[in-house]
Order: sequence, then C-alpha cells, then structure tokens
Amino acid sequence: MSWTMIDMPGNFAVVIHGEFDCVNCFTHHTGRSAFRYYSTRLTEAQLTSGKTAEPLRRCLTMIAEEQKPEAVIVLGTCPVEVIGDRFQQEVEEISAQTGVPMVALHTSGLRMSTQREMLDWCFDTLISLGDGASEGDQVGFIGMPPGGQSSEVTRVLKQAGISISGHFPEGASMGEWQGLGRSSRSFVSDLAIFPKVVERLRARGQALIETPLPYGLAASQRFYTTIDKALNLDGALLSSLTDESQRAQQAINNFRSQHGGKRLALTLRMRNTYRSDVVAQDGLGQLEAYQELGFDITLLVQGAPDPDVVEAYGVLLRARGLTLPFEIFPGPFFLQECLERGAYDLACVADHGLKSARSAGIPAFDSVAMSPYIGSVPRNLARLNALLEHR
Amino acid sequence: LNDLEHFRLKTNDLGRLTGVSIALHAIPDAFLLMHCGVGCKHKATSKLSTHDWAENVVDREGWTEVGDAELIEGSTHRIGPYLRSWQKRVQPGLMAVISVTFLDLTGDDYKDEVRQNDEELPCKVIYVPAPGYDGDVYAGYASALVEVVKSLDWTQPVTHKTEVSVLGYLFDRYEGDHLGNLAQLRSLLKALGLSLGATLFSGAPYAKLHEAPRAGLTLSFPYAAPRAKRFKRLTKRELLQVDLPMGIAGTSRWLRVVGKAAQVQEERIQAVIQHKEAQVRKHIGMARQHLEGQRVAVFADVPLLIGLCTLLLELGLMPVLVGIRGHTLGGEQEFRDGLARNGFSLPDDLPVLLSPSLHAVRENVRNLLDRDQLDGMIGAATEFNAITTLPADTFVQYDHRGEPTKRGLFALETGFPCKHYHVTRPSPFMGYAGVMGWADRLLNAPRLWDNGRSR
Repeated sequence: MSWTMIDMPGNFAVVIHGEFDCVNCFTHHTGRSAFRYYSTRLTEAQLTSGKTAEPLRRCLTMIAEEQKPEAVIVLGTCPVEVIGDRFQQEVEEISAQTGVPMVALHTSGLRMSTQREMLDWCFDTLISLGDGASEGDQVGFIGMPPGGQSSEVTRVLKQAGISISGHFPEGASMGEWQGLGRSSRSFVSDLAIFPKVVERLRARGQALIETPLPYGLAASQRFYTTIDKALNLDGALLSSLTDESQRAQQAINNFRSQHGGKRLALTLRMRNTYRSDVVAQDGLGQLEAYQELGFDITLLVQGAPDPDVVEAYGVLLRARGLTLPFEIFPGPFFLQECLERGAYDLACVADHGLKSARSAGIPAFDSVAMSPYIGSVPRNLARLNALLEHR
Repeated sequence: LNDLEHFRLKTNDLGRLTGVSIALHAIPDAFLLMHCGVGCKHKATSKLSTHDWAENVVDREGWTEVGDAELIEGSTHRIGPYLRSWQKRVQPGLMAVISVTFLDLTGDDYKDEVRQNDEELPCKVIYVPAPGYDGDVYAGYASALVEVVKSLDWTQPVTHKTEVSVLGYLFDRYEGDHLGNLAQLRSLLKALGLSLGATLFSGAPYAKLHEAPRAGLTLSFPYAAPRAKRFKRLTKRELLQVDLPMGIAGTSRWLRVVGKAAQVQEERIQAVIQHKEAQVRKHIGMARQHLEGQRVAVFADVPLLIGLCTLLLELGLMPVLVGIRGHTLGGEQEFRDGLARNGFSLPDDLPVLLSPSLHAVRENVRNLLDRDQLDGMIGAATEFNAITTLPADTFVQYDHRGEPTKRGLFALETGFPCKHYHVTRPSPFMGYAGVMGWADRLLNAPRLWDNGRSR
C-alpha cells in the first residue's frame, strides 16, 4: 500500500499506525508524496499497555486541522495487530468529527498475501473514496506500463478524439482515482488480478476490457486493435502508427537475422515490486516480445524446488499455453550457478539478479528497462543488440 | 504529541534493523537471518540495495517467514532449521539473528535459541536485538558492533604495537568512497609510522576482524561512541575516541591525537601535518576562489556534519541551515562542540533542525529559496526527495519570455542512502585527499535545475 501511494500526487495523508520503524518497510527517498506520510510512533509502553488510541487520535486530528487533506488512509502494522488494536473505531470517529474521509486498513505483514492482492486492495480503496456512476466518454487504463501520460497510446487516442481519464496507478492523482469510477470504460492489463476493482467498477456500469501488455510489435498491435474495436475507431489507431510499425518490423527482422536462436534466460518471481504491469499476466507480460525476436527461451522461476511444486509450475505454464523449458531455483543466492549451468547468451533478470548475472559473466538486462509501445521497439532492440555484441 | 512534526515521516526514520543489516553487509562472509514478518525484510534490503551498487545485498540474508499462524503456535523453533540450512548453503564465517517488536511482544526467548545454535553450528552465531520503537540506524550498527566485538578474544596480548585497529567505522557500501577512505586512513597512519589493522567494519571478513585485539592502539570512531563504556569493558582496553578525519583542520587534529596516543614523536607529527596541509592548500585555492560565499543547507548525522561543516568553512562556503540525521549520535550541542574542536563556529542563530521531517526540510529549504538565501544543498537522497517535490520555479527564475534565467541550487548527495551518487574509483571523503575530493564535487555539482547557459 505504502509503496503504491507514495508516488501518488494529491492532497492526501497516509498514517502508519505502529512503531516508528514500521515506516521503514518502504523507501522514503523516492515518491513525490513521501512528505504526506505520518507514523503514530508507538512506544514500547503504549504497545504493552494497549494505550495506542491517543497518539492515533492526536495524529489524525492534527492532520485534519493543519494539512486539511481530501482523504486519510490509516495502515495497521504487525505490532498493533498482535495486541488486538481495534483502531478502525478511532479512525471512524475522527473522520466523523472532522469531516475528512478516513479509511482504516489492516495491512500488517502477519497475513501473507500476494502482490496482486495488495494492488487490488489498494486500487479498490482509492476508487472507493470517490463516487458517481459511469458517465461520459472518458476511458481509463489500469495496470499498464509507466509513462502513460506522455506515451504513444495517449498521443494516438488524442488524435482519434478520445479523452483519457487517467493511467492507473502510474502518475494518477488522488482526484483521478476518485474519478475513475465515472469513466465509460477502462482497459486493464489483467482482469484476473483485480477482482475487487473489477467488481466495484462494473457495479458502477463501467465496461472493463483486458488488453495485452504493449511490449514488442505483435502484442502492441493487439493492444491497439482491442482498444480500436472497443471504441469503434475503425482501425484509426494502428493506421496512425504505420511508420512506427514498419520501423519496428524492420528492426525485428534485422535482430532475428543476427541473433535468432540465441539462448535467453527469463527469470520469474524475483522482483520485489508493487508495479502492476510487472505483476500482471503472472509476470509473463513481456514474453511475446522476446519470442518474436527468435530467442531460445528458458524460464527460470524462483521458488521451492520440491517435485510437487515443480509439477505445479508445469501445470500453470501449460494452462497459459506455454511449453517452454523451465527450471526452478530457490533464491537469488542460487541464480548465478543456475545461469552458469544454462550457458545463456542473455538473461532478463530483476532487481538483485543483475549482480548475479554479472558474476556469471552473462549479459543481462532488467525487464523494467524495456520500454512499451510500438515506437520503442527499435530502441529496445538496439539495447539488446549492444548487450549481445559487447559481451 | 501536540506537534504534527512529531508524527511526520523523518528524513532518517531508519531503525535498528537497518543499522544491523548495514553492519552485517560490511562483513562479506556474514549472514543475517531476520526473524520477522514479510514487511520487515525491506528494512534490510531496499535502501541498502539503492545505496550499494557494488555488492549484492540479498544473497547473504534470509528470513524465517513468520505469519499469524506461526505467531500463534510460537515461532522460536523456526530459527534453528533456518540457521542450519543457510549455514550449509552459504558456509558463512558469522551468522546474526535479529527479531522484531511484534515477536518480542510474545515473550519468547530468541536469545537463548540463538545461544543453543551457536553451540551446535560450526560458525559463530550472534543475536542482535532490533526493536523498532527506539534507537535508530546508528544504534543498530553499534549493537551489531557490540556483539561482534564480544565474540573476539580480547584476552590475547598486544603483539603489534604500531598497528591501529578501529571500532565504529561506518562502512555502508563497497564503493569507491569507502575504499578511498580506508586507503586514506592507511596513508595517514603510515605517515606516522603506524599501520591500519582490523577495522570494524570495513568489508573485511570475520576472521580478519579477530586481529583487532593484537593492535597497540584501538580507535573508537564516533559511530561507536554511544556504546563507549560497553566497548571499554568488552575490550579491556583504553579506547581512543576520535572524530572523523575530515577537512584540513579535522584531519590534522586527528593525526595529532592519534600520533600522540601512539607515542609518535611530536616533531614527526608536525612535519607530516605541515607537508600535507601545504599540498592540499596549494590545490584547493582555485576551488575556494569559485566557491567563496556560497550558502549551503547541510543534512547529516553529527559526526559527518562536523566534518562537512569544517571543510565547507575551509573552502569558503557558509552553512545557513543544518539538519541533524538520527538522534543517538548527539544533537546541536555535540555538533557545535565538535566544530569547536576543529577551531570553527557557526552563528548562534543558525537554524539547526533535529531529526527533521521531510516536510520540515521541504519548508525550510523553500523559505530560503524564496528569499534567495540558498545556493546549494548537501544531504542524503531522502532530503532531496523532500525538496524535489517543490515546483521548478522555486529553484529558478524566469525572464519575460518565460525562459529560466539562471541555474538553481547545487545538489550533492552524501550519507545514507545515496540514490544518484555512486563511485567506482577510490574517492575518499575523509583525510586530506577527501578535502580535494569534496572541492571537486562542489565545483562540478549537478544543479536543481539548470538552464545550461549560466555560470
């Protein structure tokens, strides 16, 4: 929750209800709204005596009086869960007294949850702070790659006369989240990972359409075709991208002739992230972009290497129609060995995996460094080409 | 509780667990097992991996995956199997276990569990308390230091009289800044006829740290100061408390203090200082000419702040706003006392913010910029995150055509974490070479924001 909201513009406040070090579960050196975050800074005495209400009341009251936010989100932590703190009652009371909308969420780390669940919960909470049924012609984008505001899709939709309500979560302000419910339709990277959001928006009469993640040429073309059909644009979107598509296809042809058949290790389940486009499609949103380049791909999945777990991953991949070879490795510590054993030409890794790949002597890139949409294909390929050429 | 500032996110809201993880990261064959919930893992990895691009952060860390079920049934028994399996996989020289507040609240005896595993496993296993309601990152670093120092054999005699060991060097990454600092310390000591021995911590493996007791002199750097009495008891030695050797005055004073304690001849110490100072002063003349009179906001922990303000004043710059990061290394008085030890002082009305929030940094910097009273800022990535949310026209002015007319304030990252400042070659920020390093950084500092034409 904190990771997602810290870069959200808008006049809101987030209160971490717990000891001060609980704020240390997310970074403070990035995110444009870090200065709108608070901690109730519970002491040992307050935690052991259960006297946690007063600091929360004081904190919320002063935020309402001084900052005057449009909304306050209170996040519960492990220590307050352990002592059974019913902090939502305080939050509701202060909200009623001050007139500032306040939401209490039990977000402690005690209940294991997936990145998908957290994102869905967070987005749904933000949308719930707004009201109004679907109206007008605006469209929204949910769970797409970052950079949406200045992206190719924004440009071509504008040219086609379509108004965008926002790109969610990236860059969306608190006000835009509150207004998302009023869009006529939204395009979503993965409907399955947002069950709460889907239910809420559909209840408001909004049409939700799943699209591929726009990485590489073929997936991006299907992305535009899906939008085009939904908005009855008669092929206008892809027509306006004819030059970009030709350049992308040429770059792909050149790349395939030079590097087709080379071995690519594509790692999965390594990233500590709450970026919804990375989590979408089981982390396989870029796979098609690498397949169209002619790579010989092996999936390296971080997970327990027990035989039943390995079998389960096989079932999951086959359910997605994938017959690619895959290998399970237990954690980052084992990645280097895994990469060396596979004798890969290139590795797509996440986070800390880059250093393991470097130690293995294998050129590597982070999937989040790849740019989305058709116009970016030549640049992405130049980057991969440089990695392969200068290994 | 009657001030909203109390509740706001601080620029250094880093607790003990982060400090412990930095300390363990500084021992390349150590392993940190975190007995904690899922969120606490980030206290050890997120900032450190941003800060240190040279060494992997995650492959020598593990956690015991405690959720609500484990909490209810009791979680102590999870520690042993995790320790044993990680020991087998990683073969570390040292393993450290931490627990966190919500588990401590259950009253389970993790310390004893760790003690039992220490007896059974082939490597040393220590327990480091890391409650999240008090202390700070420096307290965590010092706690880990205490436990490591405790594990060394201080009954062994001094066998290397001219060797100097160090407790409390804050080694937070394997990049060129610390490699450069350690080379500087070696060079300064060598000039006095001494040598640098085991340094806790310095990127040296655990076995190397066992050489600390053999040194003729043990220095206590400021990051060990909060536990000075404990270290004295544990080491059974008189430790020499020193400031960081920063700035010309700070480095020369450091040489005097260390040289005297090591019974180096006064003439030799003076000769070294005169020679080194003359060299540095010759080189920094041009820097001073260009930097003279620039007004700076500086955010750092007290030891670093003393060093930074010393050298800024030596280079002709004027601190006009100071922020003290953390609270266990001292406050305004300790800062002013340290500066006075280097022969400098700052005006009594200089604003000194104690453990400021991001909001406070943002507002104080904005006020100075609005009054055109600030030319630069030095701080960690968190302080810069606070001010980069200000509108661009806070930093630059525009002419009648709407074009920016000058460049904004200079921005230098230092402290923890650094997001943009990373160094591959040895680039000390301590010692005489550190003075020239800072002069170079100040002369070539990036700007918030820059029209690219003004000078």
